[in-house]
Amino acid sequence: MIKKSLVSAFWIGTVYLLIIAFFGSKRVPSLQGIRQDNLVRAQTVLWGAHHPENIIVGSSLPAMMDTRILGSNFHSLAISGYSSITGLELLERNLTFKPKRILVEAQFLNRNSTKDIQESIERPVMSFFRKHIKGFRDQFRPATVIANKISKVFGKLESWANSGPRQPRIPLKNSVSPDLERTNTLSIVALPNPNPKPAPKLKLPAQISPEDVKYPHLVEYSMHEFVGLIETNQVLDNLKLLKNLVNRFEKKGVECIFFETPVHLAITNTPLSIFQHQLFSKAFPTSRYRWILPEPGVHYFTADGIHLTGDSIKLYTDYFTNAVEIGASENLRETKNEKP
Amino acid sequence: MLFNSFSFIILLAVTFFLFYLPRLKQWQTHILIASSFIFYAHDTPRLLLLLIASILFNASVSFWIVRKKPSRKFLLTVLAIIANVIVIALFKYGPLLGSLIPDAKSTGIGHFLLRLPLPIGISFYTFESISLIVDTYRGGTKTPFVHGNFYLHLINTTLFVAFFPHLISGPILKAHDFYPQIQPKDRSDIHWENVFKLLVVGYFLKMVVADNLKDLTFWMTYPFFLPLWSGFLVSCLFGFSIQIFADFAGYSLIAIGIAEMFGYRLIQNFCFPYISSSLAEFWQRWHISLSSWLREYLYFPLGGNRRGKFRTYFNLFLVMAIGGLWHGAALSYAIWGIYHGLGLALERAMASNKPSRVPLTGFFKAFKICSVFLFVTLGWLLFKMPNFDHAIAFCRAMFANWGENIQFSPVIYIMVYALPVLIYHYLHLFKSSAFRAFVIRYQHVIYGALIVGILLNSGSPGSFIYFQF
Repeated sequence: MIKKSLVSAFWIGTVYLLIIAFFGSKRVPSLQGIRQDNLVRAQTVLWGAHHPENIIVGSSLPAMMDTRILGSNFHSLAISGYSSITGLELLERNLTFKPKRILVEAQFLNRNSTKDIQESIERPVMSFFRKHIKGFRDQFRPATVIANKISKVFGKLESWANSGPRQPRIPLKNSVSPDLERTNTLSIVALPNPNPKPAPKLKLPAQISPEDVKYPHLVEYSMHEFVGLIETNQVLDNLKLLKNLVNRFEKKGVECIFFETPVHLAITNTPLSIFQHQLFSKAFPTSRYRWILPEPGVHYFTADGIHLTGDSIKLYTDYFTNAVEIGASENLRETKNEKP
Repeated sequence: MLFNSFSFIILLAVTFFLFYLPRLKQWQTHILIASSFIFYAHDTPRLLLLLIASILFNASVSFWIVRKKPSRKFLLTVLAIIANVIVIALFKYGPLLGSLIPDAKSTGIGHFLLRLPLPIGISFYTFESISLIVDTYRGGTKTPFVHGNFYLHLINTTLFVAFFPHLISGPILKAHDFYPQIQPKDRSDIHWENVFKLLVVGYFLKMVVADNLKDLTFWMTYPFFLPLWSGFLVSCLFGFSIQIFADFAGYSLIAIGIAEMFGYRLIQNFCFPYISSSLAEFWQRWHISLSSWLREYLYFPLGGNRRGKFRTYFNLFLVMAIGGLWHGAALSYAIWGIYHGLGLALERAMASNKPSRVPLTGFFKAFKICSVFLFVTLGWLLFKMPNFDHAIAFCRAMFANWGENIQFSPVIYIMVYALPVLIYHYLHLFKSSAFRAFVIRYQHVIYGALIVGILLNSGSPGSFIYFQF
């Protein structure tokens, strides 16, 4: 029985891998969760046939961007739960081609680099198979393929059930993050503390309203990461790590562009956000690096104060891609003008 | 050390090789003990000392009990049980007690209690030690499994308590079941087909079903579930019920399969619990080693059902409450135990007052099975959310969020991962069905598909849910 089972496993596996190799869809399917999403993003850019010009690294904030609007020239390696550092480290260790630009999210310096995703990508035996045989990759798990086939049947029903009145146009409000050069008038509580206290009980700011945020009660949860004592040493170490990574990519001829996604003003005015702004403005000044900041005067709608939702995702993604491409063509024009 | 980690596979391979080397045959028990200590110390080396101390204490006491006069035996037994209970109470409930002391961090005792670690497996090996003490006392001088030589008894006890397949998450062994098996083993005695089936099904349940469902039931975490569609939340609860079964039953099957590789038969821990048509039946099918332990060492000594109706209900209630507390130092676990205790008592009261004349077939049986499943699934909410307020908030969201954005995709994923478990139970429920006959005929294809699933569809590695107990 054991031998017959192993032979059956061989044939079932081979047939499945061949089906995926010839008929596996290039479009990323609906995935089961955050972790699979993170792995698929990493595996697609590291082992996929397509080599995008622009790679985005960051956290779940830029991960919300609409990939259809981003287009084939962009790939989002924004890994939910992590930061730009994890994305850059993954690229440095495993990327086999040179992109033109890496778009670096300038938020979450408090998040340490973790080897979790890296270890999953670099697992000794499985990474070899995943790299060379598509069917072993997380995007083509049997359950994912089956679930997506079933989902197609329910897809139209879901769209019909969720179609309601469109989100009303919200009047312009000043909810854009400040530019880098603004002087900070708020004091920062920043003490090196090996045993940080838990964040104090928060009172939500008065400006959190359903017009800004879909789920106001989730804003308190989002803010927890931004208030309380800041592990200064940790943030400074991460900044140094990020700077080294950016320098190494620049030496290889890759342009590093920094960006911030729109977040609610209540988050922007937290101690950690302000501290990070100061650090980024000094380490990566606008005189030397290109920055893409949220469009001034435009109101964005978030689910919880930090994650864009609804039409705001399309709005921001559109703005972001134009900003990258217009900046790129300006650079090209400048280069052409500079030629004797 | 997880059963699906690279380091465990290496440890298992080396142990297996050394265990069956002819020239090391007389050292088989010692080899298993050494591997067990390496297995335990891999994650928490300093807590190995506690395990060794517990083994030394219980081996010494059980050795003395056999040799003491009857008047002293009882006292020694009681003191030993109390000592074991104090150890488990201190490490499991110490931090909780510490948090209740005002300004605990500035007081010596409070600070000490708050910093106590939770040794992995303490609930399991302490119960086994109590089983050893009680079995020794009951057996009197005719306790064959207590060796006349203290060193050999110590070695046997160390293997009984620390045997690595079951050390961290059971099954909980009983001394009178395990000790007689401690003998030289031969590789030709291994029933490889049985081992293969146990390991394949165990790893599939754990790595494919449980580890993937974990990514989906993540959304049951507060406050993420607050804005989610009720249909998705209901399916998450159902999914968690499947996940906890797959996780624990998968682990138990792997443990039993690995133990069989070394010639040891462990107690079956799960017997298709979700086809139970009564709560009493559920507890004969779920975590069998724990319910059997509670029955033998707690329920029967309290009088069982031989002291009248109300005493029976009280005994059931108390045993289940203690069973709940065994799982952890949180109000939610005690409430979970009381919830099941009340259910059992109520069920028994209804059965004794009005014996059912309706034959347990067809629709009525299906209705009872679904009712028991629903009752048990609601109880699992307290496992997923030890904070009682969060559990209440989840129930509220489950009923109130039908108007939120509908998401079919995650619901479909949950159904896809739950399906193997449902088929697993169906095959046992309908033993004479044509489908079952077909599955048995082509079982090698089924096992082949399970192996492919393990290779291509494993979720992110996660520790077993019952590790925390």
